[in-house]
Amino acid sequence: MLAANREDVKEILAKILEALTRIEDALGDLYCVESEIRDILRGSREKAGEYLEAMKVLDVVTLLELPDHLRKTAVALSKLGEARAQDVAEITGRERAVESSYLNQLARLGYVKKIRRKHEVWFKLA
Amino acid sequence: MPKMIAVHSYKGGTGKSILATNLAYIYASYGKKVLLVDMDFRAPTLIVAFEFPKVKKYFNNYLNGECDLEDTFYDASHLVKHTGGELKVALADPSTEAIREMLIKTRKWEMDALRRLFAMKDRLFDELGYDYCIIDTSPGIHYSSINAIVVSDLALVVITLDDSDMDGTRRMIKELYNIFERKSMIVINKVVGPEAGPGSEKRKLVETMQRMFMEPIVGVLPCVCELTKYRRSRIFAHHYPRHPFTKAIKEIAAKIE
Repeated sequence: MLAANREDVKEILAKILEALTRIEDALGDLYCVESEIRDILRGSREKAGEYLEAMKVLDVVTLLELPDHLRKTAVALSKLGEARAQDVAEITGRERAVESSYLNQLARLGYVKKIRRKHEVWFKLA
Repeated sequence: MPKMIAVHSYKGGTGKSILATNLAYIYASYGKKVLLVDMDFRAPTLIVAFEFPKVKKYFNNYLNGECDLEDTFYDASHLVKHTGGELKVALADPSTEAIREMLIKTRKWEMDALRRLFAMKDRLFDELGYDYCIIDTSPGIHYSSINAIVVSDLALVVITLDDSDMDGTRRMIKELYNIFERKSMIVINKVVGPEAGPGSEKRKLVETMQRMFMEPIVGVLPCVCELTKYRRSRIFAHHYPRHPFTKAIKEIAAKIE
């Protein structure tokens, strides 16, 4: 009886995690759209360049200041330059969904830029 | 398995460059393919040790994106001929202008430099078949040394028995290596008296230091006061293969292999 309950709880938790990942992805997409709109509003290419310049730089001193969970993701992205969540997950050994969440957090903090290419989301250093 | 080793210290003058150079030489003399990189951009030293006749490209140029990685390599394999080994050296630019330029690099440049170091590691080990890359770093916590530590597989820390050096090293391990989850090993240099000898005093010293740093002590190097008097002392192991100092570095090489 107890074992059955445990299985049910496990299943519910897995569903919650899945839902949270979808929400996180959707929020990330919204951020991506917002960022693109902002780029367009800024108009000229020169302005977009200035915007990129204003992005926070992910250098080693910043890496030192980041919380542990984000640092691991950020170091992996420093190695790759630009990557998808699954590429980062291959380096860190964590779940793709987890890396997706952390990459979105880094994007919201202004350390990385989120780019949509066809049906894929890529993350790029400033 | 190929290994990138950053030779680092908290303070200057601990013997970092001599250890890095001789470690690289010893691995090459064992038939390994080795690259030794001078990343002490504030006080380049390897250029003096190797005396290459004409240096056109420095490691600075690679990090600036001005040349390919291999353009900065200079061949010192003649030192290990008949062993099958290969020793290449990438130098830091010793000109005052270059040193000044490295001091005022932006954070964006440092970020790009980190990416180039990661690319170097992939190229060396995955494409060019190197066994070891040994990086001589700037002492203390500076951009170039942190970059080197982040990309390396191992930080080999050289300490002396000076109180401020030991205290600073302890903090550096806690606040730098541990944060980046970097494995570190310690070499104690310039040890005098019975603690440098083969007896129980040395064992006691190693045990005490191991407790203090919570990291493995892989070598105790005797203070060779006359070291700088030896001609071409930087590649000491090549010129004095039977000297106790060379023997001690060989033991370190075996422990971190």
